[in-house]
Amino acid sequence: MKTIVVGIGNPILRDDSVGIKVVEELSRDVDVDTAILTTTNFEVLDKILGYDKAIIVDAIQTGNEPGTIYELSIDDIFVTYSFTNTHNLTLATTLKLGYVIFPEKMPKEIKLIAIEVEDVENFGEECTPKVREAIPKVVEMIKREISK
Amino acid sequence: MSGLKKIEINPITRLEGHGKIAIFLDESGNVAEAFFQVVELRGYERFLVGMPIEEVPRTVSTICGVCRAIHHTAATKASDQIYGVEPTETAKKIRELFVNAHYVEDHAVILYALGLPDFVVGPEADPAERNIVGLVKKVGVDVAKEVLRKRSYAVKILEMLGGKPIHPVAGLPGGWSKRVTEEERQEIEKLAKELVELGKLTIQIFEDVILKNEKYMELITSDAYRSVLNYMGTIDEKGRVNYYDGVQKIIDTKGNEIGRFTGKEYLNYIAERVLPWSYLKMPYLKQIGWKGIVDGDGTSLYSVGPLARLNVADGMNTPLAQEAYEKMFDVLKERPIHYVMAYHWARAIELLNAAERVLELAQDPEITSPDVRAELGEVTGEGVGIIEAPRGTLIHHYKTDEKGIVTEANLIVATTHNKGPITLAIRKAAKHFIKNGQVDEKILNYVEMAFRPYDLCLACATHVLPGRLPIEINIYDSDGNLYKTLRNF
Repeated sequence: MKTIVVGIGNPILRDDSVGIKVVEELSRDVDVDTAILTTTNFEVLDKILGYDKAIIVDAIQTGNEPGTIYELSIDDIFVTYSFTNTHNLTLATTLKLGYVIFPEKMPKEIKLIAIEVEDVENFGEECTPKVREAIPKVVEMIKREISK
Repeated sequence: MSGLKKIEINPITRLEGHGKIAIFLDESGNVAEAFFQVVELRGYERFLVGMPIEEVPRTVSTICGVCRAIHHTAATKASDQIYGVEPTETAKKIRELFVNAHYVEDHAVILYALGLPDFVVGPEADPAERNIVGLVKKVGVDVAKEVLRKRSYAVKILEMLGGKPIHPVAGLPGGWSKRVTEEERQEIEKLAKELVELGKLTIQIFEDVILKNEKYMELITSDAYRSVLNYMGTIDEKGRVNYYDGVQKIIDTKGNEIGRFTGKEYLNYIAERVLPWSYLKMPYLKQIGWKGIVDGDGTSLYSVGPLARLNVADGMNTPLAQEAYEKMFDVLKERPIHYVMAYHWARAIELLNAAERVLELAQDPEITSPDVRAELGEVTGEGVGIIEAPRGTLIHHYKTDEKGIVTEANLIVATTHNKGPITLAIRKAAKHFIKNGQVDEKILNYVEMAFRPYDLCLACATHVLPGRLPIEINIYDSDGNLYKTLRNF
């Protein structure tokens, strides 16, 4: 099965970089296609079209304990009938759109892994400690997922 | 504010920046005041202090995932000045090509994902339909496929030129680190032809859907969405719109030139007013002096972005865009155009213009010259890079020590310039659509439609899931009791 792992985030906005860090760490250990993205708009489709399976790693903010790891489906994050915010497309909208426009090329399976963040307001390249601790755990999860 | 009803449009979380709209009603339920507040991400400028200036372009490309190519190029231009160097002609052309490819990509996303659904699907359509998926249903999957496929070619060009897939790294003081090979040039030329088709298609959709629909034209030319302002934008030596380089020109509400500047002369024209209710400073024109958040002749507020650029310029630098530009001024029958909704039209024209320019530059024999970097001069200690970001004029101003280490950084982004006009647009729409205390779900979209043309970028550096801007309108009676809540989530 052709799989891609995509990390989304801002590399210098502390915990927002967690998705990117997971992908960087993973690609040091495992030979798998990876991509890093800084937005959740159409570029997500540019990366995942043509793959059988996509694993997308992003930061999430729900108010739970920082470092908490969530495995989500598109519907889990597709929480609103207002598909866009005022500035950008959400990840869920982009993915749904992908299935409407490119049904034959979209991955049959998309797994979303989200990590609860603490600080996405201050600039810095390091994640906060609890979020940093989640990184190797997520890397292991993805390795298991790939070897399935 | 006693005796006034208060409506608040509140984001519930702090994701995607902190925008907050507060609307106050008077005793009879009409809008007395409306405010737009923003909390920006802070500390970015501090983050750059202590960094060698040649590192800055690579770092600032991470400020905003959307505008990475633009911040990269603005900082690169500032670094030219700090090293006292004029980039080679080829380097300038590569940078311009890079910026124009970014315009095609970004304008396409904004128009198709955010601007057009309001019109194509209809402003009063159920929010479940009034979005890009609704748009796709209306224009057809095949058209949508074409649009998405073609815009991905612009991303391909950006990646080819930027030197690294996501965050561009190729900009250097005095030039560009990567030359364009003949093979790449041919590839870009091929892709650019498709981009021009995308531009033509976009203008076509705009004309078919909006210009031919009387109701939408009424909406565009409605007083609810008209703000009489001054405008600022960048022009080339022939007075035409230019995104990469030129002179910044400011016109008044009647189109008379107020002045033009380059580099740090911006400080002679732009002043900032600190407002007690806001976290942001509101820029205004120094020559006119602060007149408050008002429009009309004599206002000191100015706006930037697609419509501002077209208003300021005498024309476009490519033939098809020039035709479309003339048509817009003919149809709307005023100059400058003060209809805020025309921002979307101007954005469509600029998309076509940028695509044509990408093609022209890809066909320029000089683009493949190996002469992509000039010798550095002495460190001057100060540099200002000004560029037109898709959302408007972007200013990067740096001071360094004698080794080129940044000691001070000041970044003025488009949304900051537009803060006054955005507040004004919200206020006008609220006054127009809220009468006698009548507020329903549709109001929320009509108010959002007022600021969507400016495509405000509050803090697009963060996009953490769920990545949306939940909005809540709370309506309070004159005793301060909540009696109605409207939500978009």
